[in-house]
Amino acid sequence: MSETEIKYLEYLPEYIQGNISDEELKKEIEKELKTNEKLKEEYEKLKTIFSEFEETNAFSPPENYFNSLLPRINERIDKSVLRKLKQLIINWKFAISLALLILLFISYKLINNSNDNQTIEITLSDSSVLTEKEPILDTSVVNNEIKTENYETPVNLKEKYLKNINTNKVIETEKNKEFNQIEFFEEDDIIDTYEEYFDPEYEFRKLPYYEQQKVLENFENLKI
Amino acid sequence: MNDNTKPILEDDTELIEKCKSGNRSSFNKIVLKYQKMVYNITRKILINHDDADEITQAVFIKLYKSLNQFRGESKLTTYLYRITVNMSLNHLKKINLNKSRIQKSIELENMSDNTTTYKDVELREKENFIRKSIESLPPQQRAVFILRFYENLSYDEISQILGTSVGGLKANFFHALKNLRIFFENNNYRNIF
Repeated sequence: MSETEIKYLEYLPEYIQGNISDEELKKEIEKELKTNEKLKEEYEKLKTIFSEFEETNAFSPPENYFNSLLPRINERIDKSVLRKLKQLIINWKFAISLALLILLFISYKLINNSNDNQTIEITLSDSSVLTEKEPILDTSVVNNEIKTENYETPVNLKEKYLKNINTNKVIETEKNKEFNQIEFFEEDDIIDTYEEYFDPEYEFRKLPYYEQQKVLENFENLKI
Repeated sequence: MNDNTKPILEDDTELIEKCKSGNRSSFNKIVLKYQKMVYNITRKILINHDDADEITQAVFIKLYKSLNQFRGESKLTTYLYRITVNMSLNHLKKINLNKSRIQKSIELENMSDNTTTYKDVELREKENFIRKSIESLPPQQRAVFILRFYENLSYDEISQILGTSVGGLKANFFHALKNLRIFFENNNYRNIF
């Protein structure tokens, strides 16, 4: 195929579709088509293809297709919006829950800190009162009351207080009183008492027969 | 540009602005105006009606979601063409993995018609042949051929839509025609070729 043929061949689709506005070029193509058999053949083939594609209903939609398209699009958009909204609500719920948790934690911390400046009173079993204002640094007992400068928690405070009872021996609790009332025995006393109540004959009778025999044998050996 | 789209373009800007402010009826008007254009392109690229229907809906849903980002730098039609062609070509890639599906759907489409006369059978065969000829084209050539031949778009407009140079598009169109001619020749269409 010559260069001129290729040039006109490129213009053919545009010429068939009527897209060539240049009148001179149009005349040139028409003149070439009359003289060039090969180009004319190509023109006929292309024209057939174009007319087939233009006339065909191969790509037509089913009947009433376009009547139902818009409602279906809107339905899908609504569903998509609803899905997004649900996701947003879930995200917000999560965010609010998280915020509440943080708020609770902060509140708890704040309450704990505010307790540092409160006076704690612990009523003891002997009706004495334990009063603290600041963390325990030193404890002193005045008139059945422990007044300290520092404290940590009420539980710790009570433990420390009970330790102080043993060392200072100033405050007597009800338990201490009860403890003092318990009567203790000396070790020797207990042994004596045991011997006093021990009945060898009774103990011998409690033994099984073969044990009794053994005891008797041992007893005889001892005699020898 | 296609003459049929000119009156539509007149109030596109107004419709878009209304859409952006949440006016759903304006969006509905856009759908009604462009539904045929979108369907025709997707149908010719994808061949199968069900796929074309799916992508047509997806195109308008995407348009609805992306209208707020639409700055109006290009025409709405160009924007729509771009979404339509891109989504169709992406879908085509997916369905090309299972080519037999298209063939089956074409056969089912033909079988669903209760036409028995010789003329009708001939017509169905012809339609099937046209579908197959388009299907024989590679995706890019198919898209260029449809936009140039059916939509009658200029190469500059197609270049904006596909993001390809005008020279490349001309080559694509030329090769598409050549391939179609070969397909017609190989099948000895109407004893002309």
